Amino acid sequence: MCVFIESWVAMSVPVVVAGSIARRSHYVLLTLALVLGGLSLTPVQAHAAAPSAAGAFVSLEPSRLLDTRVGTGASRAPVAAYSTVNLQVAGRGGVPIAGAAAVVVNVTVTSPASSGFITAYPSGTGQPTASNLNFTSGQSIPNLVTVKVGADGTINLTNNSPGSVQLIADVAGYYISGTATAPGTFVSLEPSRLLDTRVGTGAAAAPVAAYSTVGLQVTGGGNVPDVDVAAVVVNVTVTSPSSSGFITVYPLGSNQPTASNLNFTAGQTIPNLVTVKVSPDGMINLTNNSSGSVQLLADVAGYYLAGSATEPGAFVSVDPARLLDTRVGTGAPASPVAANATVFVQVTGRGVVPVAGVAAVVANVTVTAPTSGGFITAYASGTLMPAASNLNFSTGQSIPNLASVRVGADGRVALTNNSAGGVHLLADVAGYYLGDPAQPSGGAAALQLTHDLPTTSVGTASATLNSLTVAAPGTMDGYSRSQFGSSWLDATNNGWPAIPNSNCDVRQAALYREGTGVSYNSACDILSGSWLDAYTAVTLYAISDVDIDHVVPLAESWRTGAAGWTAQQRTKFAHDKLVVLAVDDGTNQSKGDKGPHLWKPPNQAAHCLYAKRWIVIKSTYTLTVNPSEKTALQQMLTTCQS
Amino acid sequence: MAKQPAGVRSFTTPPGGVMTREVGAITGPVEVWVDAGTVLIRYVGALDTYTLGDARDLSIDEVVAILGTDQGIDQYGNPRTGGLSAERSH
Repeated sequence: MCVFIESWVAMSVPVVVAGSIARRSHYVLLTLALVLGGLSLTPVQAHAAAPSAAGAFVSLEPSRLLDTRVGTGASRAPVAAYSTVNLQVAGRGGVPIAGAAAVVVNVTVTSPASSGFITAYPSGTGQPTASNLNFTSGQSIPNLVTVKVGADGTINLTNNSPGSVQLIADVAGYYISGTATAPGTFVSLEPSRLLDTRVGTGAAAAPVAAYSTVGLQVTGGGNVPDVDVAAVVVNVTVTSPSSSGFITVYPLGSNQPTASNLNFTAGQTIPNLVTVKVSPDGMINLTNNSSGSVQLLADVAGYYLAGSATEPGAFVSVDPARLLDTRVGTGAPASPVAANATVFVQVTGRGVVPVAGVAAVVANVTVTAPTSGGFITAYASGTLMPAASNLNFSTGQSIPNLASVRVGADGRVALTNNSAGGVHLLADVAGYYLGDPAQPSGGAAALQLTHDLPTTSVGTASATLNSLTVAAPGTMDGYSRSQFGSSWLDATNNGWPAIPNSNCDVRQAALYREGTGVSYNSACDILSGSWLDAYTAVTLYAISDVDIDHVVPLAESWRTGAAGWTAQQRTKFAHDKLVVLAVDDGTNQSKGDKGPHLWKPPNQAAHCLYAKRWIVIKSTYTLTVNPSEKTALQQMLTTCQS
Repeated sequence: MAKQPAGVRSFTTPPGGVMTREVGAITGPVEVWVDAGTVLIRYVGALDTYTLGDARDLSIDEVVAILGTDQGIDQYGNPRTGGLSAERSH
């Protein structure tokens, strides 16, 4: 029997035969449903319940609630000196109309005309003696803010400076209202000051000396109860430092971890939100890791209840641990994150974070040694980068911010360097929220179809489609898979870049191109990685689950023109980086030799890019289309968002 | 043209095609036959032969009737692929 494989990947992995055990729970469940006579073909996935307990955290994809530069959430105008923005948060960006006790928002100041600070607080209450965000003239600076929502669903942001500022706020999640009782749920408080070394609140009225530690009692003060507190959320501010350094905050009684919360240069006033576990007697340490003295302030925003957390949305606080340090190769290669590049940080299964059941992490992210100004955006792996920012920096600056970030289905968090230069990134985990990770979004998965596809507008794609010859499909006379070459050829001799190295064949180069965190050896054997499938928006973890698809199938090309080509032309087609795509094997099997009138990607968000890629391939190789194929492509192009 | 085995039946697949073990779904004019208890298929006029599965006690006419049955549309609007093995029909 002659066995040629449409996707040659099967030559290097066991050929899957009918009746073999399905390899993913996705398909095991599906097959079971069929065997049991289930009529639904919808994949079954186990889900933890959504957070519902009072004080549970619901993590959201970041979305922008406020941008005074463009008029989002408030007038399109700078916030005047000593004035307040009353920001609607309920009913926006995934926050419910009713039932949010507090929101977690990343607030950024930009273009301030003078120095000062921002205070965030619930509407309907007086402005507290607290600050969230300190700035100097001209500085862009963010800070994460946890703030109670007022009874009218709004929060206040007051500009405590003699000049105007622009304000941006991106929501990261919210806490469910009601009386929190379950372990790990959050009780939000109106801000109150627990520590101010300038005046003797919470500690002696004296600067904290070089390399010394303040032990701060957090329970029993500022409406934090005496007992049943697992962790607190405090905004820590450094002021009047006499030299550069950083502050590390950790439970009293624990060793100081390799972590930092707050970086500063001499003379700078800078805050950061800190989520920190408290010691059994309710205390935290703040260590001044600098050769000079500093003044320290701490304002409490709320606390997490003690006990063994089990409810979805409950928080598990941990001793700080470093998950990422690109300076030394922790969690990612020891090299700067390049301009506009993304680093994927494995969060689950690392140290204190469990393998499964993690919805979001709270991590302090620090940028250091940036070679140009820009910002970092943190988001769930497998989802589209949101229009949001977590951390702004200027050339050469070291600056941290706390981030509350959803974890992707692959247990990773994506950090994108939105700047024109390289940066080093550090991330220290402070804890995590229980629940389901973010599922990959169809839109993000669809972007796999952009690989090596020239940017093509809908208009261009439509015009190109109209330029193709419409004809009935030809016969399969003389067709053989081997007419397109009998094995995968070398990538670099077939139009591919030498990525990841010059020893790859086309299959390996495609696996690398479509993969995330792919490891390989000098022979370009692909050892491991994960693959977000364009066709299903499912993340695959086993190479044996990945096929190399020819987007326009070889048999389809035969019927529409390739029958008349030379062997050389057919071999070029079968190895073209525009034609091949690494995808889910089962879905590729269902696609088989079909055109878009008979098969479209189950991921509806991929239809636009699939049609564009199909049309560009057909045009490049002067293949014909049949009338129903053309109609299907036209329909798919209507799904493109301009 | 390849050798024409005995007992071959020609037909055109339903829109969703039929699932082969080697190359997934194939569509269009095909011919099927049974060889040593295994149902084989190829595109009419093509050189490569693919496996559909065990013939069990099915006659070639019954095989053609099964493969020629339109399986309807799935939840994504795509015609379902037919075949002799339910396991591959996801």
